[in-house]
Amino acid sequence: MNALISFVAVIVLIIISFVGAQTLGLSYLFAVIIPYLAISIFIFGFVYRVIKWARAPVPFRIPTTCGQQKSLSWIKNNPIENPHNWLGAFIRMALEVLLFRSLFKNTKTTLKDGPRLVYGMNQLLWLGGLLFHWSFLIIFIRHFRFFMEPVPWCIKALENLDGFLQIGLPVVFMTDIFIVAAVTYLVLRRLTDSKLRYISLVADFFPLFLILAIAVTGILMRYFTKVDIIGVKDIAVGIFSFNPVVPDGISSLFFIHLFLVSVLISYFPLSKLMHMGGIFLSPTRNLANNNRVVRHINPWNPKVKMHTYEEYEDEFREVMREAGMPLDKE
Amino acid sequence: MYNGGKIIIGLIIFAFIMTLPIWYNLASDQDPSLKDYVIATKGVKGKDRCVLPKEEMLATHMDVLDQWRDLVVRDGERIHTTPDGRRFNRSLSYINTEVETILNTSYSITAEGDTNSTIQVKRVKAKHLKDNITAYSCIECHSNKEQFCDRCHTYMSVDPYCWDCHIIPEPQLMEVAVK
Amino acid sequence: MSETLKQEELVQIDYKPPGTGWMDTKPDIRKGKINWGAVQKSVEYLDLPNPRKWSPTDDDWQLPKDWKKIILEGMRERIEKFRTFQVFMDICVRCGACADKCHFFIGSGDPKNMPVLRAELLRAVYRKEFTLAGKLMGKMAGARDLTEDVLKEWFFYFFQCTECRRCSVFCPYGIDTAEITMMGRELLSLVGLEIDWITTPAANCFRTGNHLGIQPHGFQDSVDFAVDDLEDIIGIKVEAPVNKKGAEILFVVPSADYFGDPHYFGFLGYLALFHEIGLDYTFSSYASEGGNFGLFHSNQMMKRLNSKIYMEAKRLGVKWVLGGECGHMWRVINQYMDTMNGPADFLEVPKSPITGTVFENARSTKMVHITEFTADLIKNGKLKLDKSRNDQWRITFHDSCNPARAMGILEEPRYIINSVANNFFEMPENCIKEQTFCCGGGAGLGTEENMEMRLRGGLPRANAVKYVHDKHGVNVLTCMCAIDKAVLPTLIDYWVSGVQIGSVHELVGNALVIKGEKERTLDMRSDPLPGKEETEDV
Repeated sequence: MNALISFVAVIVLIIISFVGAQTLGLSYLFAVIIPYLAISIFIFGFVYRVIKWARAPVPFRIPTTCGQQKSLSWIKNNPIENPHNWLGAFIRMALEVLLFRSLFKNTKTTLKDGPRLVYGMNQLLWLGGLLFHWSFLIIFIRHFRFFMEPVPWCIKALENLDGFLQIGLPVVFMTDIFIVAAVTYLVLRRLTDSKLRYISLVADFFPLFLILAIAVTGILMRYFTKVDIIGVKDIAVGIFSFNPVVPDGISSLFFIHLFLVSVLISYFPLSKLMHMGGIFLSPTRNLANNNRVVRHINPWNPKVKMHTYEEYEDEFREVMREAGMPLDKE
Repeated sequence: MYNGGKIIIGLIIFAFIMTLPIWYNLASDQDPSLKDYVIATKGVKGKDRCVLPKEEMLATHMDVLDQWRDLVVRDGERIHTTPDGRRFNRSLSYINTEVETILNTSYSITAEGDTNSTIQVKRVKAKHLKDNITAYSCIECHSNKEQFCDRCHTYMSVDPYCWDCHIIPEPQLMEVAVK
Repeated sequence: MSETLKQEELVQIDYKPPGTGWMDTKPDIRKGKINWGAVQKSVEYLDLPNPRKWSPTDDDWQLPKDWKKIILEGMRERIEKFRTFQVFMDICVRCGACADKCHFFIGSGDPKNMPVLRAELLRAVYRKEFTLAGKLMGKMAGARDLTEDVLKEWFFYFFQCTECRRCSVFCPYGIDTAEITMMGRELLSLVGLEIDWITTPAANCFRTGNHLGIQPHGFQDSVDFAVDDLEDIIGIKVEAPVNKKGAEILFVVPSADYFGDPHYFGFLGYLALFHEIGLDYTFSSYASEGGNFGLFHSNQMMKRLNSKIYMEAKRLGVKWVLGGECGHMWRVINQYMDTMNGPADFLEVPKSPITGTVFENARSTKMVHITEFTADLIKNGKLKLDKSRNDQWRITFHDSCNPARAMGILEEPRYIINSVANNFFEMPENCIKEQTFCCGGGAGLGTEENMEMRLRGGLPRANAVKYVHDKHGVNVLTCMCAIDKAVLPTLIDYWVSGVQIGSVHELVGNALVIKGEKERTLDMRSDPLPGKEETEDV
């Protein structure tokens, strides 16, 4: 049901952009105004959300330790899974962000007769997630060839790398295949695993379908029904040099693609997609486990009612005396 | 704000990357747009139209060339006939000076058998081509590679491997060929 | 109660979620799965809100009239105070990696025991009240109104989480359900939804210095008993000072160590060890609790209870503090104590008076874990150990959640066990160290009325114990956590039989060769040592 709602929502978005740009001829709206709006919402929304997080303090230092602490000199500690300084925490974060290290540890629990619980390897989600995110990043960077003039060498190098198999013409980018495969897997696992179906919200399917639609329209434009990419680049460069133009004769497929991207980035700061920024602020991962070495400060450390020794001795003085225990006041 | 320094630095990096095209285009002096591009083509009499209409060529020329290459190299099918009956030699960089040269050379038939037959075939082919062909190659009309090919390809960061094998004709040779 | 639950029925676990969506499925609130509400007296003693006589099985929970406002205000306050809360509410993508990591989910199949859904209980209300998407899109955005039923669901599921943090090991964003549960419990406490097994020990601890409510003379008696019992075993009457000013070290243990079984055997081990090395230490009756049920209640309660350790260290004028075997106690000491009640600038950087080792890793907190201390003694050859005195045991070690995942003290106890005993066997690797499973009764849930959930939640742990029991003949499960030692006997008895629960320092006490001791025939349990069975007087 949630999947269906999301799917329909994406179809409606496609229709809106098709009708808007093609039938109503609102190409300026779709090629200039909406992208400007979307980019602004994305950047300012993202910054706003992160600052909102930043305004809340981290009162306690609570890293999740996944390895031996640094204690006695002769015990080998695990400087990454249980970092004792900023460098370890930095490496831990880098591995988390770049390689999804925690997700790599994933296991699958099965209850067998006996009863016997078995924990199997389960790296499929890790692989799917990693392929998806890296493909997305590379595709995003590759698109800079549309945004920048002249195209920097590093973008070209990335393209050559992505297309190094040199299959087909235009050369097939591996990331195009990976992203479609990975998103399809991510959708299917939400639909087929009963536990995941149970926890999945509209907000979980919607971005997946949206990204799938973006990838498919992009692939159609590159490999199947060609568009005037010179015109497309004119639009993109126009936007990024504040000199917007809308050439004639650009396929509506492009307007659909651009509109869906605009929706995605406007939706970004409102949604769980903010995990992109949030992961950096996760106190269980980005802090070193050095609480006993360096005092962590809680800016709102509250005044609480305490029970002092004097009050305690006042209450129990008699029994303490009888038991022969030392007293502060006789 | 707590840990403000690190977070602000992170956000600045984020915003910078996301707006990189703006700064980049600002910094690069070149006219960032190719919106006034023209297709740099020599106006040659009787050769005012390509094998397909301009818009189609713009979008699909790479496919056309790809197909042509396979047809020529694998099947020896050299001649492309358009629906309106014009005939094109399927070649990217073949220059018709070569045809003239072959036709105008007299060869001794008796010297070496192998070479002779090769030359004869070439002569026949050349004559055939000369008589029926609208254009011998793409570059015959689109003679300025820099203007015609490279400008868009560079703009779009497209790196076709045509010229990995084909030799880029010398401009002087091109001039002769067009005459 | 565990006798009435049949194993065969308990293991019929259906991991398939019900047909109704989770927002429309009500919890099954009944004995076996819940903990009783806090008694009025304890709530009043701690000045907590809404003291009354109530039970979670009542229809009317007697909430204050403006409960909804109180909860939402409480949420707002915590959003501003805890970055964790905000970030963890915002960034979960519901990837499901945590789902089958929770022992309660594995043992019950209840989908709301998947950490992701436990957090969604809070998240749905958070979205509704604090996010734009939730306000505009409602249920479509996964938002949900805060109703009395939702509140009851919170109570049910936030007291079905033992804050063990196993899920947070696997979460790609490090979302820590313990943190979410702590927020949930703090909110519930604001309207008087407390459980007695947390609030009453907290009240006891606040008043008498320990969870069990043992008054100073009772504490003195317990220590004296232990000294006597140890004398029967080793033939030496050891010194065990209480409230001694000017001692070098204050030694703080969880109260169950001197009152509970099998904790007590480890307590005897400590006494024997300290006697042997001639340690200048003292117990305190005022700080007679290392554990801290405040951790399971609220950050403020944690601070209130924890404050005694430093205050007492200052009053007694010790140089540094040594802490006994306990799980959540060490989470508090490692992650909260210095922040809450520090700086302990009146203490010195801990230095072992026997070996001279400086505990740099406790430079600021000034509190050392007993296994760090003992491992250092052994490594420096300060102890004479007779491993064969532990030959009656085939040993495995249970990493307790908090020492493993909130501290990382993994190798110290293993080093000690391997130094004092011959037969040590690890459980399978997905069940130990940072992936260790909870005993099922942590975070204040080790009650009789919660027995079904305890047995279910403890299944993964018990199952791993059964594995090494069957494979290697393991007959003792050692651990260093007072809650483990309290709840594991029932659990292990139920799922596995023939495995005892023991302490690391119980094994140390057995193996330790003490100068001037009589010929040892008994172990710390006063059971005959291997090969000494005949000589025992009956």
